[in-house]
Amino acid sequence: MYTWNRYKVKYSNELTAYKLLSIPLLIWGIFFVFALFRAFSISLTDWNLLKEASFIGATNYKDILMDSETLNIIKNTVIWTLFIAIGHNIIGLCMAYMLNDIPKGEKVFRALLYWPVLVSLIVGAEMIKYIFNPSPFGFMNSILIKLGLEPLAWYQDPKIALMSLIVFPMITGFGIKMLIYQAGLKGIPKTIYEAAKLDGATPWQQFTKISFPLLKPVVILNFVMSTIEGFRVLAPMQLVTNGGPIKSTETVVLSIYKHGFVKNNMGYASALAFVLFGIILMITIVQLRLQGEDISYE
Amino acid sequence: MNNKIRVRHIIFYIFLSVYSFIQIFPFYLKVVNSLQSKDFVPVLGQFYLWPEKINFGNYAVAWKTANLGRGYLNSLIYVTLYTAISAIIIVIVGYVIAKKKFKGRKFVFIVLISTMMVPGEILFIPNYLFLRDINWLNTFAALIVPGLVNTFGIFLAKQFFMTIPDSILESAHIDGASELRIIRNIIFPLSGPVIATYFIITYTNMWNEYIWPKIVLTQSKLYPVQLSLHTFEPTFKTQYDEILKSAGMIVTLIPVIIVFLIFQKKFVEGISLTGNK
Repeated sequence: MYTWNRYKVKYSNELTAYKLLSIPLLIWGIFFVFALFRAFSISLTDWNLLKEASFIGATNYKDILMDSETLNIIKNTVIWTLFIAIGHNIIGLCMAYMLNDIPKGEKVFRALLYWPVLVSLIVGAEMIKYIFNPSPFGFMNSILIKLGLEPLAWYQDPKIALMSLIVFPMITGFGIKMLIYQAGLKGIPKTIYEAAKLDGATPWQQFTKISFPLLKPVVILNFVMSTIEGFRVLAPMQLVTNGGPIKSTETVVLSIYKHGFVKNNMGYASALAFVLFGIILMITIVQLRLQGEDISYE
Repeated sequence: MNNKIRVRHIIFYIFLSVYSFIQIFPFYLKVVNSLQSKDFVPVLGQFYLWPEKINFGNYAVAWKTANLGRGYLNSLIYVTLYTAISAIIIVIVGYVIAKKKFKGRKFVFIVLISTMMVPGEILFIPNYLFLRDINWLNTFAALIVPGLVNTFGIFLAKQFFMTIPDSILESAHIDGASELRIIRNIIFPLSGPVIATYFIITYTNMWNEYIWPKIVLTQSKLYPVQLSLHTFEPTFKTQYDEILKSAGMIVTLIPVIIVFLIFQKKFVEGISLTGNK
């Protein structure tokens, strides 16, 4: 009798769990699992919305590998990612360290430094258009004219277009990294610093010999996050330059968007999206490898 | 030694002030620009730290031309609905995964979390096609339903429920309370903090969303406020269009800034807890 009851309780428990999960899992199944399979099957066809899709195997993937355009979009995406990842992490860590160190005003400075992250991508793109405006009335051009220099064409000049898009997001968008570094730094036990102080360690030594090594897992996590975000960049390119001039700011996701929703090349766009997925998967695997050797405080 | 610390703090304050200034200044110039008068003509190489003639009327004109009222209402409806419904889902899923012992619990969690690794761009095309097939393009449902199972939120909720002692739930079970009642009377009241964190972060993210609405909406009367800003991009732009655009931009920023200022602490907690936005 007792075991029967327990069985019933356990069984009903499992049933309610599945019942409660059923609707969320259904939604997730349709818009994630089913979508993922559909995307993959589309990527094996030459579908362009106009004619019937026909199976062409891995041709799209082969085309992507052979296309010289692929190298260009990956190069642009990697440049963007490197600048953003390095910039956000260095600035974020420095600001986090200073915020944790100062006796007063942490909250105010934190709010001022964090807030550009709240700005929508559309407004962010508008700010790039304003700061690096190619007209002589733009922000940077005004400075150049004040200094007696010639105004530049910024994002309309293929040579410096990509850099013009990178600078503003790089120096303003580090807020999330900063918060994570702050939490990481606060998680390091104070006793370690006190012991180091007794041994006569300077603040710089404390930072390089204690904070930074113990922060390594956080640094890796932040770098991987920035890299993944970086590879998925779309807004600045789409809204400011639309990939131009002469494709100097075309990136992977912009290319996916253009192939899919402008040229209606659904097959090619899906294949390109899977290539992006592969790249992101590789980055994540590298991260897991790096994080394998975990550091403890003892 | 004490003097050294003071010098270090002063240097840090200078750095933080300069850097904070960099974060604010370009936006400040946009605010100034949004207040310039209609016949304002900029002088070459000149910065305007204060409007020549303050003209708040620009905001009214911008509001009207871009139909920002409509955009605001659309954003408010769809962002609120999305955040509220997905909040219910993440609490229930987070609770079930954290507290229910059932076969496949670990599997469900790992599979759901691995969703985070797949770039959303892969799902654009199949989800667009699916919504087109069921005739959901140009509806709010197309904006709300696909992302309802928010894995970031589930992670947040699961972490939270792990900290709640089983004894609270067990006593309710012994009293014979039904599962739905437990969820309604115990789980939801308990999850106040996690819902607040989730709400604030998700609300601002969704408010700023533009690419998915751009894909599934073609009728401008359904546009969220972010897409309404496109109105200020006529083919031949005048100085006044620029001023109106500045005003429109500031208007879309206001709700997010207010939410952030009020709930700064929750923001910080949520982000440093999950390492995610």
